[in-house]
Amino acid sequence: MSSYEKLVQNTIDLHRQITQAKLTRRDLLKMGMLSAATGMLLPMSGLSLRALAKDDDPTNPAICPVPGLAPPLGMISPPTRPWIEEMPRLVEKQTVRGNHPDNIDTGYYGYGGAPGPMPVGDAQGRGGDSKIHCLYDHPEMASHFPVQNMGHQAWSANGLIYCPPEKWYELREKQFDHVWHKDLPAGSGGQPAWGFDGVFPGPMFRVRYGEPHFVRIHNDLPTRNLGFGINQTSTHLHNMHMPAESDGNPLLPNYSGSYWDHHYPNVYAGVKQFGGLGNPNEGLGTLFYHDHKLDFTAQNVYAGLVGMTSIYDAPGIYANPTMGDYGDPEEATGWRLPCGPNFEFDVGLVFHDRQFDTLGADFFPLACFDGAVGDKITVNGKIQPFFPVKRRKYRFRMLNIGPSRTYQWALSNNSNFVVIATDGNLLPAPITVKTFQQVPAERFDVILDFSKYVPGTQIILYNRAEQTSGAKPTGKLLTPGVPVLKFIVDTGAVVDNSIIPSTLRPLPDISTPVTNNRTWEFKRRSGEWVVNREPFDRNVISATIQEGTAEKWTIVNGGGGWTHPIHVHHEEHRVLSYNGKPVGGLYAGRKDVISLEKNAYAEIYLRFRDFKGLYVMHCHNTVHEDHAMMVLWKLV
Amino acid sequence: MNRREFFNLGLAPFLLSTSVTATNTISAPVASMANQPAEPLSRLAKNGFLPNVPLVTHRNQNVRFYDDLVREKTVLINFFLIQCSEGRCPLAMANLRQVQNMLGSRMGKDVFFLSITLQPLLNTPQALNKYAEIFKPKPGWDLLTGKPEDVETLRRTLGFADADPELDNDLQNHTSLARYGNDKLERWGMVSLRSSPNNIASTFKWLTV
Repeated sequence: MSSYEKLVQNTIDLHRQITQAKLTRRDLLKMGMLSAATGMLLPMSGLSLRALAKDDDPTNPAICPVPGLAPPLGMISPPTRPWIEEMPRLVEKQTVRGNHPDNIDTGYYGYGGAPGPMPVGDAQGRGGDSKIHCLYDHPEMASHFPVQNMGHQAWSANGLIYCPPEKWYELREKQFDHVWHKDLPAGSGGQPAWGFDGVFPGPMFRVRYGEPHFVRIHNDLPTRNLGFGINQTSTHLHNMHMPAESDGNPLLPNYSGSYWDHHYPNVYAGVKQFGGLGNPNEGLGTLFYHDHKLDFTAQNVYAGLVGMTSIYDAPGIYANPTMGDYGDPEEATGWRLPCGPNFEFDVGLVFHDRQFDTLGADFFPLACFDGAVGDKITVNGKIQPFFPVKRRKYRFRMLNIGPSRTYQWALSNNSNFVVIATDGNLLPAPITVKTFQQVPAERFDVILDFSKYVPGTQIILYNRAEQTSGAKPTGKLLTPGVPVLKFIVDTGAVVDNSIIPSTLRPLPDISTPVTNNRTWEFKRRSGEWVVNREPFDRNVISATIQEGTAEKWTIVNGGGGWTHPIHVHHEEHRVLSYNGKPVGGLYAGRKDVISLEKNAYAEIYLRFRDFKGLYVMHCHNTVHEDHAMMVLWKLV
Repeated sequence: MNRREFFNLGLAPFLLSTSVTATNTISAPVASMANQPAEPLSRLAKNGFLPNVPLVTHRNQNVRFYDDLVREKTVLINFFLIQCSEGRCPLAMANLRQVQNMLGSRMGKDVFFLSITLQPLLNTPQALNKYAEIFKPKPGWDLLTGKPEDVETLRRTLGFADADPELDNDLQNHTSLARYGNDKLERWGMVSLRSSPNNIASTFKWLTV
C-alpha cells in the first residue's frame, strides 16, 4: 500500500468512525476538527484529503469557489474507491398490467378517475387531476391556461390530430434510499433521494412513433424534503414534439398526493404539413424526462427526479424499407444498430456530478446561484462504477443531466467514439471522433466496438474538462482527466449482427421561409441571470408565434465570461451560424441544446408546428434557469 | 463505537496539535451560536445556513436573525442599498410594498419580509425608519441593520456575494434576487424583485401547499 493509498484508507476509516460515533457538528467544532465559518472539516492531515491534494490533481476537481457557505470553501466529499461497484442498467419501463387503462390507479382522492381526453374533477372543479387542482389554487394562471384548453389536444376525435393512446404507463415519484457509493459513511443502507418509481435514474421508456403513449405521474413525495427540493413537480420530456399541456410546463405543478396525465401523440414533427405520422426525417431518438418545477428544477433533479426515454421509428410504414430504428433484438432490420435481446447492447448512461458534505451526506449548494458542481461524478447513480462488456458493438446513449458540469470525453486507449446521434437525433452519417464536449442536457449516442480487444482489457472513460465553478469550465484540459467509468471486456465470443451504417437519417429541408427574426440575449446583469435584460416573470409572454411558421432566432451570450446551454421546448433547431461562421460535424444536425461559449452568438432556424400552447426557453444550467434565466413563449 | 470511545481514541489531541491551514477569513458567528437553542428545528439552520446573528429592525427592536425572524416562518430575504444608482432597489422595495398588500392577512402572520441593508454602518435603525416611510412596511416587513460583520456573515451565508471578488467589492453590483423560503418545510428558492408584484406574490402560494 502506497502512502497515498494508506492515507485514503485512514481517511475513510476516520469518516466511518465519526459517523458511527454519531458526532454532531458541535462536537467536531469543539474538537477543532470543523471550521465554524465553513461547516466543513479543516484541511488537516488525516482528516481531509484536501490537505495533501494538489490543485492540478485530476482526482480532486475543485468546486464552486463562492466565499462563505455557498458551498463551504474547500468542501470535499469523503473518499471513495473507484471501480468497486458495477454500473446498474436503467430499469426497462413496463406498461400497466395488460396495457389496459382500467388498470391505471385513479389516485388517492378516489375522484378524477379514468384517463381521458379531458381533465376531470369533482363538483367543485377540484379533482385528483392536478390540472384542475392547480388552476383552482392559482386562478392567476387561468389567463395562460384556460380550463377548457387543458384537455389533451391530440386525443379528441374532433381535433386535427387524433392520436389516442395505445400504450398506458404510470410513474410514481417517491422517496427512497439510494447508495451512491458503499464507501460513503451512509454505507449500504444509502441515503434518501427522490426518484421516478423510486429509482435513480428513473426507468427507461422504449416507445414508438405511431404508438401514442400515456403516462400518469403520481406525486407520492413527502412533505418533508431532503434539505433541498420541493414536493411539487412538473415532468418535462426533453425535446419531445408534444402538446403544451403534456410538456411539463414549470408553471403547472403536480401536487403531492395528486397525479398529472401526460399524453404523447408520438407523431413526427410536420404532421399537419405531411399528413400521416409527419415527416420521418424529423424522427427523435434519445430523450429524457425530468422535473421542471419553477425555481426548483435544479434542486428536484438533483434530488433524483430524472429518467430516460427512447423513441423508435414506426416499423413498415415507409416506402424505404431500410428506414427505421426498431430497437430490433436481431439487429437484422432497419439500420441494424446495436440493440440485442432486452436492449442488452443499447445502454443509457446518465452522467451526474454530486457533492457530499463532511459526513458523507448529500449536499446541494442552495446559496450558490452561479451553478452547482460536485466532486463525485456518477454514472447511472454510482460513483466511478465499472461495466463488464461483451466483445461486440454497443450503443451508449450518453446524457449529461448537470446541473452545471460540462464534460470533455476521451477513452484511455485513445480509441474512437462513433457518434451516431446528437441530442438524440440520428445524424445523416456517423461521425468518428476521439473526444467531444457534452454540456448539460445534451445527449450523444455513440457506438463503441469492444470486439477487437482481448478479454480482460480495461478501458477507462475520462472527463478531461476541468470545471471549478458552476458557471463554466476553466478551459483547461486535464491529462488524462478524471476517470469516470471503466469498461472491462468479458471473455468469450458473442453474436453481433449489428453494423455501423454508412448513412443514417437525412436532414429535413429547411426551406420554409423565415417570417420572423428574434434576438435573445442571455446575460448576467447586476448579479442576476436575465434574458433580454429581464428576469423570468410568469405574467410575461415574451413571444407569440403563429403555428406553421418558421423563425430565425439569434441567441446571444451577453458576456461576463459565463457559458449557457440554451434549450427551447417543443421545437428543436438547426444552427445556421455560430459566431458568424457555418457549423459542421457534431453541430450540423438537428439539436435542442445550443451551448453558448463566452461572448458567443448563434443564429438558429426553428419551425413551430402542429400543437399549440405555452412553452418555455431557458438556460439548461438548471441553476441559472431557477434564478430567472427563462422566458415564456406561446404557440397560437 | 460511541462518542466516549471516539474521544478516547486519542485522535483529538493529534488533531489539535496539527497545524491548521484554514483559508477562510469570514468571522464566525460564534457569540450568537452560544445563545442558540440546543437543536434548532431545520437542517439548514443546524448546518449554519441561517446564522442566528443579532440585528436591529427599523422599528428599533433587537432581534436574532434565525430565532426571531426565520424560525418556522415563510420569509422573503433581500439586501438593499438606499443609494442604489441604477434604481433597482427602489423598484424592488416598491414592488414589495405592493406584494405585502396582495398577501393581505397572511402578511405578518405566516409571511414575513426581511430587507437587510448593505450599508449597516451608515444605515442606523433611525435612518431605516425614515427610509421606510417611502414604502410603508406593514407589520411583518422589517428593514434590518446590524453590526457590519454580522450583516456580512448573512450576506455571504445566504448566497448574496458575487464569486468574482472585484465585482463583489462594487457595492452597486448587488442582486435584485430575493431568497424566499419556508423554514419549517425547508423549501428555499429565489425570485427576482424586478419581476411584477403578482409574480412575486404568487411565489408564496406555491410555498406552503
